[in-house]
Amino acid sequence: MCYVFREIRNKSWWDKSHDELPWLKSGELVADVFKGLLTKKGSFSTYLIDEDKSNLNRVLAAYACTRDSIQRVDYVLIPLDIVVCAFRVICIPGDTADDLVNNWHCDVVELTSQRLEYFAQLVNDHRDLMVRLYPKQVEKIARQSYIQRNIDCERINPKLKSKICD
Amino acid sequence: MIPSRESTNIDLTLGGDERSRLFDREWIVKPGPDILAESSVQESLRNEAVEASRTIDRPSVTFITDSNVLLQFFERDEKLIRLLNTTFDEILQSKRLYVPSNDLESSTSAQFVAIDPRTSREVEIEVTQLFSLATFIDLEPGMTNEFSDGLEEAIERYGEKALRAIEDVILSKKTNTAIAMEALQCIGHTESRKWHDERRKMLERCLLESPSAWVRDGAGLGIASLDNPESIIALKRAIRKEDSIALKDDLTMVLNQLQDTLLES
Repeated sequence: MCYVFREIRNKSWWDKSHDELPWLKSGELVADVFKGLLTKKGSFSTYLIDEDKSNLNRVLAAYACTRDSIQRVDYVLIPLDIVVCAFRVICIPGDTADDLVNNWHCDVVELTSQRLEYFAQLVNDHRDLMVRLYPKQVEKIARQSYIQRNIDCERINPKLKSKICD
Repeated sequence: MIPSRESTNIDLTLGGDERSRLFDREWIVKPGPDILAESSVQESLRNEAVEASRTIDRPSVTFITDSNVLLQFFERDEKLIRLLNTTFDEILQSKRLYVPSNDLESSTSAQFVAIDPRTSREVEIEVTQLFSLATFIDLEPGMTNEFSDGLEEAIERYGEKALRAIEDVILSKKTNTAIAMEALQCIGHTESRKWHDERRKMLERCLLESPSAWVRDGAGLGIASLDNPESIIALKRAIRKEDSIALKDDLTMVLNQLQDTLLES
């Protein structure tokens, strides 16, 4: 069973909202979660993760290096078969500094507001596969990937370059 | 700080060949001939300091000395240089300073004061405006935005005043908790060592005092970014009293990280 990796921006919206917002009923999700599932023309990016998650750190490193600085990465893994049953998934090359990771990039497309809501529900159903990586962990993973020559430092933000590639 | 009646203002004229390190850059400092002519000269570090420092945009430093004492502030006085090589807030806290005079044998001590470019109220307003701006910004983690840049700039420039203003906005709920959370993470996420302890203490206060789980979470993220083992005690306290199971787990991760950092060091 492979997984779909999706960054969710802020894990707290999913697992701490009921502590924060007493008006939120049991089973409901706060609307903020959609900020972590931003779409563009009805689609958003994901990456495919192997069943044994052996490529997860490589994806995380490449993803972290698309940013301006090393920051937390909050993400979820959803079983691929569940996603493809409910959504149209098109695999097209990504735009990270790791060419192999780019081959694992897929877009979930043709998203309507209703389908996005369903995706949010799917994410919520897989909260046990929701992870927060703190900046120090992210930096370590990214540096490791650089050491393994996965990351092309010429293609990342110069500020990151000094952190990851020196 | 209000100058005492017995004090005389002596400001500094810049120029000449004496050099002093200030605000991480070299710039030239020399008392001008006016200082020799009278004991009260109003000049400033203003223009040169603007060029010398990105962190202070309107500096104005006034040295207050005993009457009839001429000062050479550029003497190789390490204490002075060390003090000046900080920020104005720190200078404000210093009351007396040894400064050698022209004649080294008649060295004297001198009071000095720094006129901070902004009052606390002005800094508060600036910080509050930043938080208002954040409402309209997409605060994506790891991506530069006007809000995070603005916060960092305010802290660099106004130091503790800015941190106090940010803390006030957050703890008195003048902003929404989602923005507060991002702000706290920004405060911890800094390349600068400047105001490190003040940042840490502020984050710890937010962690321990905020009634909002999201704000406490943001404080935890900020503390993780600072990665200073001195926060271990505060984290342990926070974990003990935390009601949110999810947050307790996340804070425990931060605690583990800091304990590892402690072992590594």
